[in-house]
Amino acid sequence: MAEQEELARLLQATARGDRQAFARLYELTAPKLLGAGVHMLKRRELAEDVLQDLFVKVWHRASDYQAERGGVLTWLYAIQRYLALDKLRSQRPTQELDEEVSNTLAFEGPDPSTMAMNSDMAARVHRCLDTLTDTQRRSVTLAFFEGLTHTELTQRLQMPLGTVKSWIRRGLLSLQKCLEQ
Amino acid sequence: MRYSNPQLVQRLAAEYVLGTLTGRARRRFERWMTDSYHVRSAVWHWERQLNPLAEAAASVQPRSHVWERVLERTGAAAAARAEQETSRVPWFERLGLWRGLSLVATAAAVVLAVLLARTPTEVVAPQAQQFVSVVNGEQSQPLWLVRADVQQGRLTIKSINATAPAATNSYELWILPAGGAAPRSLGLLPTGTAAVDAELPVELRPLLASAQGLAVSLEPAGGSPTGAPTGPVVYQAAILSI
Repeated sequence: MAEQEELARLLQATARGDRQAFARLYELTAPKLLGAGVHMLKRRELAEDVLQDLFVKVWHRASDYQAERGGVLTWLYAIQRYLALDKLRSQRPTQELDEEVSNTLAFEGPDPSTMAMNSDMAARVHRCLDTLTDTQRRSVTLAFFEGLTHTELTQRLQMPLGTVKSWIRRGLLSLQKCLEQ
Repeated sequence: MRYSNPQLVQRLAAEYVLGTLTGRARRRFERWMTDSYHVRSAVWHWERQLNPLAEAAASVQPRSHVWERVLERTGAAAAARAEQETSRVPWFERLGLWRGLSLVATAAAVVLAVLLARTPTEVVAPQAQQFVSVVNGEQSQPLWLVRADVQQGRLTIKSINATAPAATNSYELWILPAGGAAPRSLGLLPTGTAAVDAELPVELRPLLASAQGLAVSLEPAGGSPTGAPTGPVVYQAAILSI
């Protein structure tokens, strides 16, 4: 895909210290990344902080990228995800109070059917999510898009810990099986 | 080790990427990732599978201050910032940088540098647009040879005798601009017999002729996370125009 190649080229140039390429990489990917970040962190400022940390990291570690991590965008999502999870876990106790924000963003992940999937892989994962049972899909997508822990899932889904853990585990297993086909 | 169970590795890797592996179990798994390619590879597998889901989120345009902060933190605005912070004495002035530098000790290295720098293909370099620097170790043994060609816009760094730092660290090279402005990164230093050939960033080119010298700091692996030196300065070197 042309876009993938363009991103790979920009990242390579960034690794060599090319600031123009770095700026272009930001321009092309930051809005997508922030979209995902806002879903997880619920607050724009927090998501923007994470985005900032992500790109500072990218500037210094662009050469760490390897094809085994997937496309450049997937790699960026991955690093952002880890940064966001850390931020979430350190913020969560106070974040629960932010009712207004959680109302405006109360959702369980975007509705895939209304989204144009940019990559084949994304489309495949969504198709495979459909093969999960409703409860499995709900717990996996809640964990993915909102970064909920097992404990937080028990509150949200009103189910005991053991049940939630098993939904996640089985959900991931089914996903894996479907993706392998 | 119980982690040798491939199904368990897959499950933990999936939950690590998803984020439902938390707390101490998460930290333990991270340590294990560092040690094992097999485990990292399982994590990458799940990153490739799960993270494309994030594309379903609608784009949100970041506000302009985000990029401005990125620029600042990656060193592009470092010089400007240093000027604003003249009230605080930065680390590189506190070091008394050139106080202890022995010119005699570096003389031999300079000769070596010039000899090494003049490769046969190079006919003449009339206007001094090339700079060399030899970074010496404690016993004045040369560790790195640094060459910058402003006209070609190239920066080459050759490790002569440099041994790698601990796996959790990298050596990072800094240019110390004139007037005590904040150091600017020239990138990570190779070790062993490795060399790097990189583009000399455009904004650093005019700094070379007047720079105070170069410094090497010990940073976390992959380099300073802030764009400014964070670790101790372990070596310093003068820059010579040739």
